[in-house]
Amino acid sequence: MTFFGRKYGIAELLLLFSVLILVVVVAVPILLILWTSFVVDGTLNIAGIIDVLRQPDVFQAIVNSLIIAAAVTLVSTILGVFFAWLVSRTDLPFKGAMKLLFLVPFMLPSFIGAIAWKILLSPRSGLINKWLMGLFGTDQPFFNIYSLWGIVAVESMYLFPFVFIQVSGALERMDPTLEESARISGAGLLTITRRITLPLMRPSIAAGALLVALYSLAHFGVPAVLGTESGIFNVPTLIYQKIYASAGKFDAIREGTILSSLLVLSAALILYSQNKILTAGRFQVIAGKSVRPMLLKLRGLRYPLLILSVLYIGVTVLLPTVTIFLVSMLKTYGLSFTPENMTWHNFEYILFKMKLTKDAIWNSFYLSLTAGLVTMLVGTLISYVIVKMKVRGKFVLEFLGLLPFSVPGTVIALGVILMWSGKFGVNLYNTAWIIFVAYIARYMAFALKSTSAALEQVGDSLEEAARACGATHWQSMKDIVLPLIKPGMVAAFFLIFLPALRELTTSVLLYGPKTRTIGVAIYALNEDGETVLAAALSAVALVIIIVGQWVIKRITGTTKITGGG
Amino acid sequence: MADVRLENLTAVFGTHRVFEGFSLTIRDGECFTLLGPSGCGKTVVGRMIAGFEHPGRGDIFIGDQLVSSASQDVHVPTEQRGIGVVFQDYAVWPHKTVYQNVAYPLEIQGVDATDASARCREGISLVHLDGLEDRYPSQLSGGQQQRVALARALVSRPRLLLLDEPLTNLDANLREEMRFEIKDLQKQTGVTILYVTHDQEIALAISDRMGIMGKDGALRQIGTPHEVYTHPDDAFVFNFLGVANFIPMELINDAVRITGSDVPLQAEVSVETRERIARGEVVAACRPFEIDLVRQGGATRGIVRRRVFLGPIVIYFIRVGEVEIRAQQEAAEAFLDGRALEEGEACGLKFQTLRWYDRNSVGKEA
Repeated sequence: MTFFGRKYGIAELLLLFSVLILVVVVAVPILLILWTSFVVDGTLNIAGIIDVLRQPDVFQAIVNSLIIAAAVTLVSTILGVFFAWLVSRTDLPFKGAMKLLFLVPFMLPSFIGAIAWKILLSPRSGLINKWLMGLFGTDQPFFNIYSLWGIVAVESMYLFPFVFIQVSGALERMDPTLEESARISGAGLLTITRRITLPLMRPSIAAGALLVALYSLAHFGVPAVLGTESGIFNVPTLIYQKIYASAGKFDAIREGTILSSLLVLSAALILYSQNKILTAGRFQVIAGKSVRPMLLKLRGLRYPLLILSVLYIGVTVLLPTVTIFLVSMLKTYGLSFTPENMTWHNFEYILFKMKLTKDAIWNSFYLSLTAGLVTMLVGTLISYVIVKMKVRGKFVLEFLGLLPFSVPGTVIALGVILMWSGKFGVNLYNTAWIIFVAYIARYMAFALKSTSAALEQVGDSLEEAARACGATHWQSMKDIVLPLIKPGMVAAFFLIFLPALRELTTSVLLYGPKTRTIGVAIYALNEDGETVLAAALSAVALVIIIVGQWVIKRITGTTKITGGG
Repeated sequence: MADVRLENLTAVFGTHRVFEGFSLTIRDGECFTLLGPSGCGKTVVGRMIAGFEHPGRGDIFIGDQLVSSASQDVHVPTEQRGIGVVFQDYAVWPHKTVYQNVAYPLEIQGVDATDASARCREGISLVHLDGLEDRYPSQLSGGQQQRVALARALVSRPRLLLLDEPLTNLDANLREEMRFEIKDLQKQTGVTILYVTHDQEIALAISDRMGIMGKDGALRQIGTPHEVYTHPDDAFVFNFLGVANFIPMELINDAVRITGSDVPLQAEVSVETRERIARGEVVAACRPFEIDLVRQGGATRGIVRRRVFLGPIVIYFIRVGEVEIRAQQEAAEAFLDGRALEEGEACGLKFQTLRWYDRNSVGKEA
């Protein structure tokens, strides 16, 4: 193909196409947010920004965000490091099972957890509070979940796996000779853990902690469920509040963009420092091969620590899940959990009768399915250009490909509103399409990560061998590359499909009268006091998630790419 | 079958110039080896012929077809070049069976099923993999995988077979076995082969002709293995093809001596060479087996610093003047006749042949 007297090959066209998609879907919305917040009528709007930031509610939300993020990071890091050390460096019984159990909070939607904890610990009607108040004969609630500390506690439960994964991974790959040489020098195991192991783990700990901070700062679900009731807002919930209350007026959107810019900048800062820490920490600590590290003998503490871990999982995972399922079957909220008060009717109602939930399930299902498919396919194409192609200007794509990793869901929603509400000729507002576009932007990072990992395992020579055998570029992609990365593509699809199915943060800002999603419906039912129905829909979502996780495991667990032979 | 002509090729990656003005003709039906140290650009030459890389300048012809030309903006894609390629990492497709791997080129060409099946079986038995047709690569050894790659490269009857370090990942025994098989395959099929390697033993064993590339990407010498081995053009080629002694000499009172030695060398040295020794321009070069060791006599005397027993041979590091020289004896004979020397023992050295190379070229390339 020839343009402007130059020959352009397939490589250049693919690059152009990939860049275009990322620019339209991710880059322009973010630029629009920055532009809208910083520029008014063609001039820099510093005074306006300061005015907004000095509003008491905005200032308070920023302070709340910082307090929550700091506390959640601290708690998650302590929990994550402790449990990671316990399952990878001690002789704790049933370590394999425990390790999997510690990852479970990862796949559970935190706002559903927040609803469960509301049921258990709301000041007056919380089940645990009522039980304890009855036990001690007081009217003083044991714990008020509608508080900063309630938010911190629930967020920490769901975010600590970030630290856990980073640290347990690093501990397992750590070169055991580093510890062995300390041991030969006469150091005891506890000294080694304190003086050698933990300092070596510092980069991984810091990386995990920063990830927690990143998510907590931008987190919507838990503060929305637990904070709004008592007037506690963080930045994302305040953005939602302002836009919701103003019914989409532009002033509210501008305030939203200023707060969003804060989120974008802090995310950029966090990712930058994480990158620095990880590159600085990539010294000889980690051996590439799997190794068998020394294990600390817990002796008398073995079973007490096992009980502690089981108890922790029981309280943070099992208890809220069971609560959701039990409440979902109650005839009326507030009744006790006895067989005569239980019914399957709620499920029948939300699945087949109630328009709101029926619509929500259908919307979420087809939005997640299509967004998952499209994002996975586009992500594969982009990864292919980044990983496999030799083409000038690729660095633009590499940079754009990093963007989706750092943009919070609230910000994506606002950017998509700015971009697709008619300003540029296309008005998708209040349609399912705007949620579809937002999902693509939000989940592109997952698709890129999963497919580029798969592509990196396919050696260049495999494709070159196909070319030498007479295959064209397309034939070699179709016959060699695609079959080899298929498991990675399927995994990418599910990594998008499952979170999208219960997505709240983005869709809550974008839904219209006919385009509620499961997350929005659960949130709305809960807000309206329909706790039983909210729990029933949550239970449905949980079942779908559990089945989906099982499917992922089946697919990625049994198929393996063995690379270049 | 076809010859291959490379004319004035230049390869530039970023600011790094791998080679420039590289010209070479590979004759129809010969096995030509491109031998060079790692990083010299020999693989790039192969990849340019295959069409995986574009030359910055220069032309490539396969047969009469111009396949690459920077100046004429010609770049025939790999799949239209009619070549077969075997890679160092085998590049056997893990999701296809042995049969499917070998059948793929025919499938692409649209060869009809019965014909294709016959040719596949023929190709598979050519590389002695009969009976393994339905195995997946993960069920094969490294050597077997490389045979699959060979069969796959040959089944479409290419004009040229490119082999890029195909034996490097195999163990020593298998390597030896495979190099005979590649040679046999060439005799049976008559295909032109370009074999790229850093292993001089394979190059000597397998080639009809070979070319030695320097680290600078320049072709130092082209010839049959025997020519190149017995008459290396320069110190680099001499050193690259085997263990080499480079012995600095000096001219004192019109007598040639090993630097720091007190007796003249007993060897014929031409007048011209004497003059160049006097100017300090040349060093002498010989292989360890070109030195006879004697206990008594011999004009050049030295002291055995170290003796290493390697099974079939014993090697000695002998101090002569300021120079350490490596020599060797057949182990069986030496110990039987009592000619084997002890460490610390004095001995005499007789040089069978000495070559003279430019002094400046030695340190840099060796």
